[in-house]
Amino acid sequence: MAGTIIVDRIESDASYASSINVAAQVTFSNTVNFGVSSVAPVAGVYSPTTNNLAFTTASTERMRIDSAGNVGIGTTSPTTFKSAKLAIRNSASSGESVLAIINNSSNVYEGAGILLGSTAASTNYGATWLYHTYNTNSPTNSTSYAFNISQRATDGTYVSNIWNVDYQNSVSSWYRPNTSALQMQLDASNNLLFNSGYGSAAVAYGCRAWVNFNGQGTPAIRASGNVSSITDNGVGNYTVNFATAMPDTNYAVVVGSGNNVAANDVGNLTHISSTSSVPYLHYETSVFRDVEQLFLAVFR
Amino acid sequence: MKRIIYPTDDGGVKIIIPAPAWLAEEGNTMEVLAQEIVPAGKPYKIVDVSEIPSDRTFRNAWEYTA
Repeated sequence: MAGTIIVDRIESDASYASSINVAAQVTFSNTVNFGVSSVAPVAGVYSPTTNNLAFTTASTERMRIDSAGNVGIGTTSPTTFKSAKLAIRNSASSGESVLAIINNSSNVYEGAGILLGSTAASTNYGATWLYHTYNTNSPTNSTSYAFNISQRATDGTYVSNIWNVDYQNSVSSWYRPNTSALQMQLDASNNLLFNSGYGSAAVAYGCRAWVNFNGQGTPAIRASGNVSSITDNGVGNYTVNFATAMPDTNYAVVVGSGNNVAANDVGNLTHISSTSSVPYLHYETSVFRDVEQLFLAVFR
Repeated sequence: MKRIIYPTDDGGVKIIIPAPAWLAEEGNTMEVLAQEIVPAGKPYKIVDVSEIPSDRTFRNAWEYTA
């Protein structure tokens, strides 16, 4: 029948056929309520259980909004997964992603590909979590981790952390994959620890300043770090000026020199008395001399 | 390339050699370096490196001339 039918209510009596076919666009000017049905539509919307709403394609449920407003894609029970408000599950055996987030803007600096955050008042509950967990329960690792990347074995079992940020202990740690071996850490005292090859991670003491310069002819600096300049005080007598001063005068200085001419009684002297500069004197056979290669490094 | 020279108390001259890496940083100039290194009240000059003798045989006898 062509035309427009305006009705206040369409209700199916259980004793009659329970589907209504309309070969046209249907516009609802008020709410639509779905009664509970055990039969999923081929491609549509229905209510599989009381107060639940499901979306189907190919007669299969694809997405559900449960009675509490939680959304599940690929799962009919999103709250199973750590009480998630949104759970996306891919049960394919292999080769398929769960979620793709692609920032394809012309300028990637204008927006994040993924942004995680929390406005919770308590960081204990507002932490950002990212971890692998074999089961749907809590991860094997500590609940103090604000950010965690861990790995699993091919059988699905939890193996070890790769990187985690422990907000309760103010420690950030990096581990070697497939082991629990700590490779690098920023500890609670702001020290950087790393495994430099001798077997375990230890505090790394940085070189605070260094310079390589030529003391002969017209003295010149070849390369440097945290050095603003060198003062040429005289033959074999220099002052290395720091770009950023040392925190105190308790630093250590390593000085060295290179010369093509072998000589006895060669030495390099220094005396620490300033946070902004350090003297450097080079002598050979008890006489101050200029040489081609002069080096100095400061540790603190 | 430039150098900063200034007199010592005993009549000699000190020569400040800038680090290229430091000088390449924004805001770092020979004038800034002079303000940081030359003792307050001392006169100084910024000169071309070609004005500095390369023969250092008598380096300790060099004098500052205004």
